[in-house]
Amino acid sequence: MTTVAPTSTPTRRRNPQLLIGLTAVAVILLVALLAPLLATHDPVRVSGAVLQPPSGEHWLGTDRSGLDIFSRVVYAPRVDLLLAGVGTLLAALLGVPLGALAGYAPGIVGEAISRTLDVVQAFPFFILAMCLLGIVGGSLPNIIAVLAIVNAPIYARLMHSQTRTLRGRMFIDAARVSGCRPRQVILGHIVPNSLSPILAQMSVTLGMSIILVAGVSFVGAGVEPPTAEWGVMIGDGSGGMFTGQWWPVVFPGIALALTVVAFALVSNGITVANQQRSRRA
Amino acid sequence: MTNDETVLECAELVRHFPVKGSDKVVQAVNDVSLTFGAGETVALVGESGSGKTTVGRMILGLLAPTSGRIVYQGTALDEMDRRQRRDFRAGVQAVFQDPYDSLDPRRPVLASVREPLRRLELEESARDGTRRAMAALEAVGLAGITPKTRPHDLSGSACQRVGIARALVTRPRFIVLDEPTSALSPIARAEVMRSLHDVQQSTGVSYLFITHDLAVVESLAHRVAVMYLGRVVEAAAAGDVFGRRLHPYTEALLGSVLFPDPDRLDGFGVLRGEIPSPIDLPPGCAFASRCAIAGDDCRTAVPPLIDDAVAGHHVACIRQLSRSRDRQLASTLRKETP
Repeated sequence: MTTVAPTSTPTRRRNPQLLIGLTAVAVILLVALLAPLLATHDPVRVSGAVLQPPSGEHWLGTDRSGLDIFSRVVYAPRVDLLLAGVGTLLAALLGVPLGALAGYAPGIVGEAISRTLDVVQAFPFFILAMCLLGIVGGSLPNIIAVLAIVNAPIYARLMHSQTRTLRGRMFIDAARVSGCRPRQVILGHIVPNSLSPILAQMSVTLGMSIILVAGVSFVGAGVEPPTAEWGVMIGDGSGGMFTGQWWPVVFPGIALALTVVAFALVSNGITVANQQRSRRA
Repeated sequence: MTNDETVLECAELVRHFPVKGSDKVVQAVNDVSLTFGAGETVALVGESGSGKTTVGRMILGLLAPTSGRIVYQGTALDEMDRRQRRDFRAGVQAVFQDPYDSLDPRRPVLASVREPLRRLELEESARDGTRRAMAALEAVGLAGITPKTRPHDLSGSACQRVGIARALVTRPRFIVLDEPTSALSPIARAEVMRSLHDVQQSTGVSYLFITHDLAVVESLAHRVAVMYLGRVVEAAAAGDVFGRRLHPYTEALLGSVLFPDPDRLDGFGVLRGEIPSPIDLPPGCAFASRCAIAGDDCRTAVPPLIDDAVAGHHVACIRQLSRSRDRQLASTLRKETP
């Protein structure tokens, strides 16, 4: 436990996952941001040229309504990322305090929270989201709310275990002796010390939420056509797969897969970076 | 530095922890009473699992006692109003065992030292709080701390002195030192002990010094209480505990210390056997199973802590008590007989 001259340089260690993931996410965000400049056509304006294969005019072809697929693919992250991003943020904002409370105040309050989460998690993720959206309808605010509700238990559980672990650490006792009230202990010490796993989980949730949005839209319970959204596009084009019109499905599928992989890489990268840091400390 | 004013007192403290899935309880602390005068250091010694840390946590208000009272400057802890509670928080501080673990790794150490001032609203402004935190750090010999210094930038000894600075920043009257030197190297230990000693000399703060390191007890403590399985078995002035050691457990505990003088080991018992489980405590004296002089009467009832078995020396042992009384009687007789 003595101070030794650092044998490794304090610069960042190799973490290709984080680097590639963050680059990919940055590119996707840039595409979403610059969609009006990148798009060659209006993503929701129909034309007579239906089910055209990829060509010089329509780079990735057109769908059965004559919508330009390239333009729709670059516009789609605006919807998907917005929904997934806001939904994930709300899920964390809802789950983190609940989990921290359940972990810090065991007994009736903690049990009540834990059992409620059990009920939410007892339903399969996708089925629950689909049912809820079927009841309330697939407007954008509703989709965000459903994302928040189905994902919040993950954050609550994560925070619950983090809180239980950290509560036994001496700096939490020290904070209490320093006059911190429970709320101040949680917000001032427990949450800041749980940020790495929360951030890693948010990246996972973002990817999963994009799949979820696409999934519910695919079955018709989510985003309504003709909004440019990957799930809607895949759902709309799925009928043509067996008759040779693969392009309305494959291109949004690739975009969706790349996005999810990018967020998964970021998540792994955060975990790795955290391990590297704690090994150094 | 000591005088008769009582700063803090705990009376008949009991703490039992329920065992999950059974009706049994872990009897961590049973009937512990301690009094702390101003400027006094009381050492609480005992093996791991003797309940000494639990006593410290109860005194700090981190753990509610099952029964018993903690009185700070005349008011019981559970009867305090908001203002008294704040005064208690500012007046009773702690230094913890693990210097790294007791500082929030995410925070600059300066923020940790300032935290009591901020939370207890004892600072006039952020600038005032920072200035006082810096002053507290300088007082423990840490002048090179910048607002960006984090715990992992510092050595163990420096971290522990940050912990001491945090405990001092509110100018407390009482500090619980929970094995503050056990994680440190010998030189760092000496540094920390000197800091603690200097602080007491200049501020008149009282210490509860929880430790199993008997070598440092002798240098710092005014009084010593020895705990075994949740009970105080012997309590007296430091010199008396080391010199007279009435309880066979104290004798055995001292026998486990390596003193540089071989003659000092003379007469110390050696500890045999396992420490009993605090869940199923034997009916009589908890130490009887490992005691060299225990008899059948030791195993029937818990021996009470006899106040002033010898002047100022409290001990919970029926055997040693009769022996020491005999000795005392004998010496009295010798003096009286010409």
